[in-house]
Amino acid sequence: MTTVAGCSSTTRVSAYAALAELFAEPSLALASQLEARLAALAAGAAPTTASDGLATFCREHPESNARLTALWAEYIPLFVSGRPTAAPPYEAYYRGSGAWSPTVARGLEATYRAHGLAFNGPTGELPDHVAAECEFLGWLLADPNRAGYAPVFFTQHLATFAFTFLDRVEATGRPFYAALAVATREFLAAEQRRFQGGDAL
Amino acid sequence: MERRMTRRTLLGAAAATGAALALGPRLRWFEPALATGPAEPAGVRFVPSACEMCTARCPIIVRVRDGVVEKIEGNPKEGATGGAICARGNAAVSLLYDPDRLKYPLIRTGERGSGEFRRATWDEAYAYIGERLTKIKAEHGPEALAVARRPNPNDPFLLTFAQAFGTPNVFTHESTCPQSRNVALETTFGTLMFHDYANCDYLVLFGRNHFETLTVPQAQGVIKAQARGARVIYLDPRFTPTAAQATKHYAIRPGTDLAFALAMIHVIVREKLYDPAFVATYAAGFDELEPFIAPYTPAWAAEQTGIPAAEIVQVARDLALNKPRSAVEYGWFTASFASDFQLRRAIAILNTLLGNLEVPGGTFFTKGLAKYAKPLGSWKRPTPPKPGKPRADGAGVPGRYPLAPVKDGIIHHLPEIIMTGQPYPVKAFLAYRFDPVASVPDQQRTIAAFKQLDLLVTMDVYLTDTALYSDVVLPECSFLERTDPAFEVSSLVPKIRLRQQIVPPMHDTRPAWRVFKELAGAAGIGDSFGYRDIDEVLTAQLAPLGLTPDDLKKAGQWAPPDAKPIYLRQQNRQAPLPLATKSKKIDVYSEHLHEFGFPPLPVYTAPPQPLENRLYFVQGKSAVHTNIATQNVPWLHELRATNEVWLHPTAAAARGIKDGDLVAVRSDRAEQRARAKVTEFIRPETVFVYHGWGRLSPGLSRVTGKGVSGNRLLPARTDPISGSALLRDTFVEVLKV
Repeated sequence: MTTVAGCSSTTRVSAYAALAELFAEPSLALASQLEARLAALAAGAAPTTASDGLATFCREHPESNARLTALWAEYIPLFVSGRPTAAPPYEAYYRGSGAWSPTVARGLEATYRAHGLAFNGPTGELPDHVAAECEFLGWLLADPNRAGYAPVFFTQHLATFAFTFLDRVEATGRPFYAALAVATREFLAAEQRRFQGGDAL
Repeated sequence: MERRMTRRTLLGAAAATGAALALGPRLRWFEPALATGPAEPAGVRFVPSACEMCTARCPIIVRVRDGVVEKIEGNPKEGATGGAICARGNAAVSLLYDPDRLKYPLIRTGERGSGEFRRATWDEAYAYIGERLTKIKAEHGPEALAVARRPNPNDPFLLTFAQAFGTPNVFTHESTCPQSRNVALETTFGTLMFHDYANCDYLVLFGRNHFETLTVPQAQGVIKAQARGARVIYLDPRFTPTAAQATKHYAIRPGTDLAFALAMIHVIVREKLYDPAFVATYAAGFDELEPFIAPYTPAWAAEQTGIPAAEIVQVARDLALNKPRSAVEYGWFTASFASDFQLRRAIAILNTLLGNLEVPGGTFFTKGLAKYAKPLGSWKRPTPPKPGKPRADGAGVPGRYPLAPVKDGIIHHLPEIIMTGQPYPVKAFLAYRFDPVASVPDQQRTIAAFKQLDLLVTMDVYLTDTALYSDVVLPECSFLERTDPAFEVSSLVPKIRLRQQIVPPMHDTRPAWRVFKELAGAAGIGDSFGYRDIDEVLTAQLAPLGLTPDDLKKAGQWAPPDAKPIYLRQQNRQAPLPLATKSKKIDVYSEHLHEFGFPPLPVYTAPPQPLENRLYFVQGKSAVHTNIATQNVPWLHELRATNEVWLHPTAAAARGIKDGDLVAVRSDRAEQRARAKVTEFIRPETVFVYHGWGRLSPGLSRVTGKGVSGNRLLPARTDPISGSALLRDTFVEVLKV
């Protein structure tokens, strides 16, 4: 793998894969491997003060089941529809003036299909979920034959809403996800610089 | 040579793609595109269906482009609506795609009302409910389950569930809405009656706010009548959109409508302006009416209503002179004052005096499918057990509420039953698209009662206020994502209509026909749900009519060939009428009421008077919202985001309140805050708010905490005759904050 702007493509792919897990609904698997996923994300950008918050959370919830419960307690009010969705994790929400726009989601499904993938997220989830877009970006970057589309997808989709979304998450002050939002923003800002510099791989 | 895609090549391609995927990161959100089949073909299609944004169920055409619902319009083939729909129907698109919608089943993890839930699978949710229902049934009997819904085409599923379980405690919202009207009509005619608005020449409306409390077919009828020159007389303490359109608006004193109606009867009887042939043929008890009505003079009514006697006389004469193409409207949201049942009885007597039954422009009995063609069929199910106990709320029970409809019950009594365990314990409650925490008066008592339940289940599209206190929340598809049973919309012409699936369900939501079938399996009563899917239900329904589900899906609705409006007395003014009273007559004087110890004629009771500094508290509906159901729907929320407290300038000045000030509305039950709307469009002794705000659930993210919840301010009082709640005889203080 080549290294661009101080970050290998492997690292970037791993960081996106980590984000796909970190912003998905919490699972026992995630809870038990949380440190590893956070490390993968952190490798994609310079360390920030968020790292302290994330480390503190992991320290305060060492046992996986208790950690899972703590993650859910933050996740539901932040992201789950039918609850006080402080920061809906969907691109269409931010591009549809507060409403969920099916056109955006349908367009994304077509984009995925054009690249050989069909959206098959957790039951009931939607194709414009931030975790899905991160996973798709990681998948694009993992293969030089696909990577050329990564800057386009980043610019036309993820970057159009992720920073606003992350600001909203941070503003809630939730111990884990607010810190995760800061770390993610650092990574995506670094990615933006890389893509704007013409870098895919 | 054509290359054919076989299952083998398909799987081979999928495997190859899968191998390629394996080169990248492990994917959790995607799979090879070939394995899931093609997306919906591109293009535009138009699908007929039926709206569900209010109870009118208007016929609609849904425009779908590339699998996305773009727009909802009225079905131009429907004469009653003229192809129109209202804002609520248009806004269903935004409900479908609302991020606030429930996405998957939830099971409570925190205290009731804390809003702490965990995601559950459907099987988990069913098992949770099934186990608890089985235990409750074993310990307390099947009647310990109560169920409730707003009447809708999926009723057969909930009712079958309740019947198979063995409980008599099935509720609707009617006791907080039109129950006093319904019981008055049943008492007088033995059935409900409807209006032929479009052909009416003179229409009197007691608070029936047609252009705001909106159903499109009725409003279109009134518009058509007015376009022909019909006069509309409207009585309401508030100047509403209907007042603006009316020929004459009277800002009547709250709670005195019955006085106006009795005085009209007085004039029509005294001046012999009634239809003597009609009265002689169809009415029972006219002889008792004459002496009864004598004291209710226009001068007396003027003192009660604040409307000059001469005006009352003029309206009565005009009404009678236009008979039989004149009518007094029976009303809509009639859960108001203690006198309301008798008001509806007085209206029934007025229409009887006008002889307007079953003639154009008058009133009519529904021309149901069963009488014209054949009734809709049903899926086969075993005969349910007869409930071992009568209803807990006393509806239909001698000595309690003998006239309250058994099919609807008295929902605002449910909290008391739960809290006291009398006449027997009710331990479980299933609310299907019904939100009593938000809609039943005395909200604090409802919440306290629900906290005592062993099991509270809500099925809805949103996390409603009742869902917030529930143990299990089941997410139903929106009406654009499911097919319901066919339903009758008969009026002067018999007709059936279909609400059909337009797009696949979003999220992990399911339709009612499936949820009740699966839930019944978990509760051990699955035998009553022997259908495979909704098409099988539809097939059984339509078979007697010689129709198939596809026939109905193509057009969206069906009427018998060559069906025309039927007026039973149009040709023969002595034609028999399907009166279902014991006397087989129109009971002007009701022996039936007399037997139960209620006044057999509509005796006037003056409304309670406010103490100093207090005002009548009146709620009403907005044109862009349906009761408490739509405040969070995105596009409708944009049109009306909260409610204000309407105050007359005199009342506002006396309290130092200016337009836009934050005010507190205080009753004996609670205090609520909202902005004041100072306007001359309301009487000075009255305060008004639109119904449906002041919501509790954070799941209704746009409206939670906004505005005044009237039902938190109101006590739960009951009309002893009809079982209707009394929602307008409460007084409040309004204070500048």
